[in-house]
Amino acid sequence: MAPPADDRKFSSWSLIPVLSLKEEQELKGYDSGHVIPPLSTFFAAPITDKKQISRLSQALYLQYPLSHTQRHLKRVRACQYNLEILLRPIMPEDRVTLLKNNVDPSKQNNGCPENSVGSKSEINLQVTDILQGGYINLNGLGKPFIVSVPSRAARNQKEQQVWGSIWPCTYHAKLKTPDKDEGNSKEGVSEQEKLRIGRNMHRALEAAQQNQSKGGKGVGAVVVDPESGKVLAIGTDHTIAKACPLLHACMVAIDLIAQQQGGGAYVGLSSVEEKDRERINEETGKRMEPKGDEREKRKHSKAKDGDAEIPYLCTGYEVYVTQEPCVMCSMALLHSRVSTVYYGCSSIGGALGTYYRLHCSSGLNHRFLAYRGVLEDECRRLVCGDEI
Amino acid sequence: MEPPEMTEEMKNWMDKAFQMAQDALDNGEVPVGCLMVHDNQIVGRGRNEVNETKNATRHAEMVATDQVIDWCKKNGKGSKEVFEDTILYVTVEPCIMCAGALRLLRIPLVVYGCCNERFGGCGSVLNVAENSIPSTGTPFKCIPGYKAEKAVEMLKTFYKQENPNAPRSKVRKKE
Ligand SMILES: [Zn+2]
Ligand SMILES: [Zn+2]
Repeated sequence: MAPPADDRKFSSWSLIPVLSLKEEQELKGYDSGHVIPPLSTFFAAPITDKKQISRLSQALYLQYPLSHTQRHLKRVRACQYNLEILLRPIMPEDRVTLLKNNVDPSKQNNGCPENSVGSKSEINLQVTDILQGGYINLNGLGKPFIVSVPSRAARNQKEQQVWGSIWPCTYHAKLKTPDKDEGNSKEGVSEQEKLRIGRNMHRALEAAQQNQSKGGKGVGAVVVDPESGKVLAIGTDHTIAKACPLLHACMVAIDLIAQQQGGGAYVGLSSVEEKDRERINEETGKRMEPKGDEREKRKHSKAKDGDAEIPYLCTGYEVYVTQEPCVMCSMALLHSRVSTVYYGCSSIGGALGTYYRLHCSSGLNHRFLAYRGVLEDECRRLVCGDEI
Repeated sequence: MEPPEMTEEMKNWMDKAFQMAQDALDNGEVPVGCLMVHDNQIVGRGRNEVNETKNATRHAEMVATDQVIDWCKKNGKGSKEVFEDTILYVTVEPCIMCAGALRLLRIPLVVYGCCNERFGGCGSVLNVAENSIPSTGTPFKCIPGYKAEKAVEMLKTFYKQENPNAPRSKVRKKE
């Protein structure tokens, strides 16, 4: 077991986040341009006298300022032959009036005819009905209508393009949440982080190779504490060695962790020798410092739910497994409260992306992150037979 | 209401599983009991052992499975053949993990009491029992609902009993 001094001996691989179906559809939507933003409805009106624009904008700005969640909206847009201005958002109390006018404000399509399917909806109201109080000189405003606008700011360039086709919006790049396409590398993780992930998977891969050479199914699973960067357990498939169809690598790794904490259910599981693990950790320790943000994340995950006081299980740990775990193992990892699972190649009955997406299932009480594709080619070469 | 498919024999086994659950409850453990019955005899039984083992996967069904494997070794039987002809009787619907395990073991039938709303793998959260998941053992049949209210009542009693002022290190029991 030589340390992976030269990472280039592996085929190139990509870290691919395994998303929920909803997130995946959103991403697909970006690619094909079919993202529909969350919408809210506004009263708007054409500006019939362009000389009045700045006066009207200012008056509306003072009397009907946009709330902090609406500040991405530009007040005025140019639409075909004229300009249109947002008067104010439609409030719950407006709905009665609108329903009397046979308008259902929740079913509005958007405005500008040339770039949207629907049209802005006409209403039988006057500007005076909408801007009550009479403080604003309404000269220069035409017949009001209803328009749907994005209800939140765009989070990335792709969203911004879609948002802008509905109503002009401002976009502050610095406010965006990390985008999968941006960041330090193609996968949104730094080169250093990718190296770290590859090294940990390399441990799982080595274990899987040994396992296969001893007649096992060639699967390895490694548990890492991201706080210290230490490898805590290295499990391998024991279904054949122990004649138990449930002793998949992940189940073994989970029990090895329990054994270290004074528990455990299975006796005589062969693991990587303690000395070996220490050697690995020494090498790893030289290379990397625990990452501050990981530490924060783990604290956070401990604090936020009711089972937080459980001092054992795998709370906050990362698991590196050569193949996508089956439904039993995936749920076992969920019961054990892991924070992230990295796997090499997909399995046809896999439960972290292929058949189920247990890690982001809305019905369950814990979620974790899953990534696939780590040292994928090397991991796939070890897969033997059909049965997980 | 009792499920119509239940034979008298099945009801007897379920009542035994309920006795185990009651026993667990009396001893401060999660009131879930399970039996694995092969060839008219109990070849495995189990209750939740998450606390003792510090292993979140030690649900009653997993514990019983290991007993069946031991029984097979002692009796010189192949565990594959035994599991394929074994019925699981359990007071609460198996969770997603256990349902996955039962598929891998190729257990043909599971008789259970109440549903497991949080983690159930036989229809409550996912239907691991019936879905056609490739390369993951075989689907199995379920007969749910025998004394479901009783099973729920026992769980409720257990969670009520749990002292909210227990030391922080005390593990929350789960199934
Ligand atoms: Zn598995
Ligand atoms: Zn279970």
